[in-house]
Amino acid sequence: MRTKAGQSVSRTRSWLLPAPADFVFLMLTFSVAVLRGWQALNTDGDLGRHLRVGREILAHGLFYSDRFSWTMQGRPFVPYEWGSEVLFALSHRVAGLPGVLAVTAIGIASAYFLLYILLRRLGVDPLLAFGTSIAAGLVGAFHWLARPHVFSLVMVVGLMFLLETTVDSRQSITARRPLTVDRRPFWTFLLFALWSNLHGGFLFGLVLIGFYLVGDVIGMVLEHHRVDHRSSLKRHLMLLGAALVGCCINPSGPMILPHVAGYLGKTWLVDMTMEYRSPDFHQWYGRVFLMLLVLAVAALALIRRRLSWPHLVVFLGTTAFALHSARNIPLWALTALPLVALHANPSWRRIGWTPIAQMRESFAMGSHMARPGVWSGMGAAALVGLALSGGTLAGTQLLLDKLDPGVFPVEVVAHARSEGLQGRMFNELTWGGYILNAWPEQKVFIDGQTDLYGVTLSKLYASLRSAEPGWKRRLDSLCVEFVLLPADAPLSSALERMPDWTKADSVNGVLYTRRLPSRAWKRDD
Amino acid sequence: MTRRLHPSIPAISLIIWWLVASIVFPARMLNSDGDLLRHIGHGEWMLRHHSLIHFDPFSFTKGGQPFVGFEYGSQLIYALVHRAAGLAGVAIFAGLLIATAYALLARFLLSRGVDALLTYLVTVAAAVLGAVHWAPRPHLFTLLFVVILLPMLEGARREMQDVNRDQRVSRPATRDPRPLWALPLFAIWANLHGGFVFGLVLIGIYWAGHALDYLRENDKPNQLAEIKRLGVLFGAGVLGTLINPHFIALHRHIAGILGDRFILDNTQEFLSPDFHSVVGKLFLLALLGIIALLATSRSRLNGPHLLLLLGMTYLALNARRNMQLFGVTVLPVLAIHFDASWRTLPDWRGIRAVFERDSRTGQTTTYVLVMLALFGFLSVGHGKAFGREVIPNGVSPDEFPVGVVRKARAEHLQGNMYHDFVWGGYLIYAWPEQKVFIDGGTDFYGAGLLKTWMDIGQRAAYWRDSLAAHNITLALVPTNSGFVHELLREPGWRLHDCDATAVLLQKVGGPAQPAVADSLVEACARRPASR
Repeated sequence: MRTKAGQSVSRTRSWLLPAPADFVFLMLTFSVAVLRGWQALNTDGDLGRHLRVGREILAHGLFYSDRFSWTMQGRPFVPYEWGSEVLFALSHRVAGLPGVLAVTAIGIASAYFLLYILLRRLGVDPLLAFGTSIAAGLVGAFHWLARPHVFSLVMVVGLMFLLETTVDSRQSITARRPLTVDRRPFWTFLLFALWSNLHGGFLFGLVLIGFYLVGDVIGMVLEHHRVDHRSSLKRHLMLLGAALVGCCINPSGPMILPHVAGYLGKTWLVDMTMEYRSPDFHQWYGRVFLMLLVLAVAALALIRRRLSWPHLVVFLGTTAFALHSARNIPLWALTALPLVALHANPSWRRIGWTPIAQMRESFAMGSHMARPGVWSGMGAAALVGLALSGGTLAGTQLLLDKLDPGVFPVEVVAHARSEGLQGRMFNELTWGGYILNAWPEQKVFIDGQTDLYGVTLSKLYASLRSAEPGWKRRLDSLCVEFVLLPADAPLSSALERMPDWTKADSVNGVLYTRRLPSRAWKRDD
Repeated sequence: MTRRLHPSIPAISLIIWWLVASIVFPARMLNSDGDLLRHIGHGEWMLRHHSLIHFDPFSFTKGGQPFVGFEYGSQLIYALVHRAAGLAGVAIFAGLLIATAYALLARFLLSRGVDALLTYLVTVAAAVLGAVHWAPRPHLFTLLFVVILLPMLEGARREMQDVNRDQRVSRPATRDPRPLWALPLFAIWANLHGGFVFGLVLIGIYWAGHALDYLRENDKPNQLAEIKRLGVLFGAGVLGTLINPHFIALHRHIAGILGDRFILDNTQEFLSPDFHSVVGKLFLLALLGIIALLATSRSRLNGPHLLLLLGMTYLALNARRNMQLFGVTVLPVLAIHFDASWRTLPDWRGIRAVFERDSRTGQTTTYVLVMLALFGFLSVGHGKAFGREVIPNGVSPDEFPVGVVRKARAEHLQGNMYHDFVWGGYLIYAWPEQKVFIDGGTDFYGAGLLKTWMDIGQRAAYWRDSLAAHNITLALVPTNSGFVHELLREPGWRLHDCDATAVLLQKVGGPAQPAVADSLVEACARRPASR
């Protein structure tokens, strides 16, 4: 085998050398699991809920009514993330929190590994592809959380493969026997069948195909002399059809679609959820996103060649999503950013400035000499091995094996559980998931699964926590017997002065207890 | 050409935006926050004492400490307008500033040969984007001065290139504005509002843009000439900014504001835009439209315009208050750039031709005089015309503690007061004998005191200690805030007065009364806001 420069490289050596994609994988795996492991586990309490749901499913099978809260007990529950919850529960069962971290890191790193592969397959210069993949990873880092959405990252890149690669290109690059049947609808069906059982982000996948369709239609209208828009439209329609069918292959069937989409229509809930708010460009992730966005706009402004219509629609649509809700920034980085890199690729290759040209050439030579995958596989295996050994290496805890007691009420919950405390509890929302997992006998008032609890209860929670006027009456009418909140919550401060409540402090979290005769709770709709 | 009686496009802009700002939106402008009242209060103090403010006379938390009155010029102007025509006059004056800015913007675009309809649409879009920050405050002078600076930045107009490159659209050249005019412009600007820094940044952006084009070997001789011209412009601007009572201390003070992350992160207008809001969505539409235009157009932006677009996008996404400046900088330069492409579009129902014809024959002066007369009449009447209130002459008692403060002042109530942040400016204005805890001038109070204020209001840890440390014996807070309930449950605090808007609590001693707190507050909420 020869490199582009004509150098001879043995097949054996090419498997032993780490490819740029492997560097992407290894860097991000290390970053997620070790450097940002704390953030992955402790940013919110949702992991606790996912572990609990996963355990329940493994023990008793799928369930369709709530069994974790006393406020929504028995209400319909749609297990739309059951696949990832089972995966997380299994990894936790086998290797504890280090196992969860390993799954999260491998999932996230795989997405950017595949992104590099995709860019190379589309002919993007290796150095540009590498930079784009790393930049995409960096801008998504704020959302590296041990939650089901990490699987959506991988699925999105998978979908981009199906949308961007053509039958012809696959024939020319793989140089295998020519393909006569376009199997992309089949793969799309499989992708969405899997995706709809892992995370609600499959909805974004449907919208992404929709963007391509819109672009095709615009192209047909404005450039009706070009036949490729029509064939492209047909192809994307088939993919959309396959995707829609695939979405229905889940325990909830087609009803999963209105359930997932319905949450986005609950404006109050969306506006109150941090990750659905617009990006804060004062934060580090916002600054990175802003720089990349500005660079992307500069590229579009400077490059004389026009962006294709589907790519333009994808860029505009995903930019709108990302500016609307910060959680969409990683998805922007996996869709819009690579399309801009693809668009800028010819101009990038023409840059004659010596330092860049030399770096480009060296990187290209290196990437031609290496085959991706082996080093990534070894890295993943090493991470799994590390997780199985409790996350320690030579006495150093590399992978966290416990949650931060400064964030979650570890001490208070352990003590309350050992005391056998039970009853109607009002709890901090972000602690709900932790309580579900660490205190399974106790039902919560609310947790991060706000699509289950709905607007009414969420508003009630907010007003109680803020000790808004009438809080005492509402708390009494709910027959709340104890309250678990951070010390600086307004309700904590209010309860401190109430003679009928006793207080138990801890390192983090305050527990107020009161005893009342039990009464049936009536929902105030 | 026969001049008709219809208004010119600048006149239309002036009429529409003056009416909208001063008659349709005055309540929103006057009640947006307490800063207007703070500025008037500061201006009044300077007029009464015939001196600038060198040491703080308004607060008990920072009383007597050195004070840099960097907006003294606009504060004096607002105070004088208030003396002459009340708050209604202030709303009218603010409307005049806003309308003049957009009228001048239209005039600038027309002078650059931009199509008349496009000029009108761009001016409307700029005004809509700018409406997010329409408040009678010193920054309106910056809005106006940025528009005045635009011709100096753009320089002399040269022959413009049509889309097809074969056809060069010939338009009369404009005179090159003398860069030394920047000296008096910035001299006035620096005494009105700290936004002169933005003006210097704009010059820097244009300078860098021309340098970029020079390096890209686009029309090198002209680029070099522009680089030199902008260098002179920048130098003149910097010299002009030194002509202020504080000299270089002004620049240090403003740099300090922009470098204080805590204050910027906790000040509404410096937060990133909220794309869930209506204005945010409009800005998003504008951004996406611009990106679509850039991506689909065959003509490429020149260096200055490209850097301006990128820089202003950065600034506007960083702080929502910059959306207003985005509107008056990016939109017009893009209009200039895309004017040739715009002219190739079909003229639907001949609207463009009508605008083009009317733009050459419309009247400006007549309509300006008519509007001045109309609003002059309203000013004299303090917002009233023939006995009817057209423009409110006061703040809303639903937003500010008007009745409670009037009564407390009449009773000569005294003591260190904790109060709502926005009401700080109102207290300076309406109860000058009472010293404030804090107000909107956070550049003076600093991050430390702002954090203390926030901690007390949010009942964070040690909030009671903070109250005690400042010897707080009065509290003026919104009726429905959880803070009221908390304080009423504290030993020694009693309800002094209240209405639906505000509750005034006083520390008089005695045991806590937690049992009656809820019912007391609910009774207050049922009382109408007193005027």
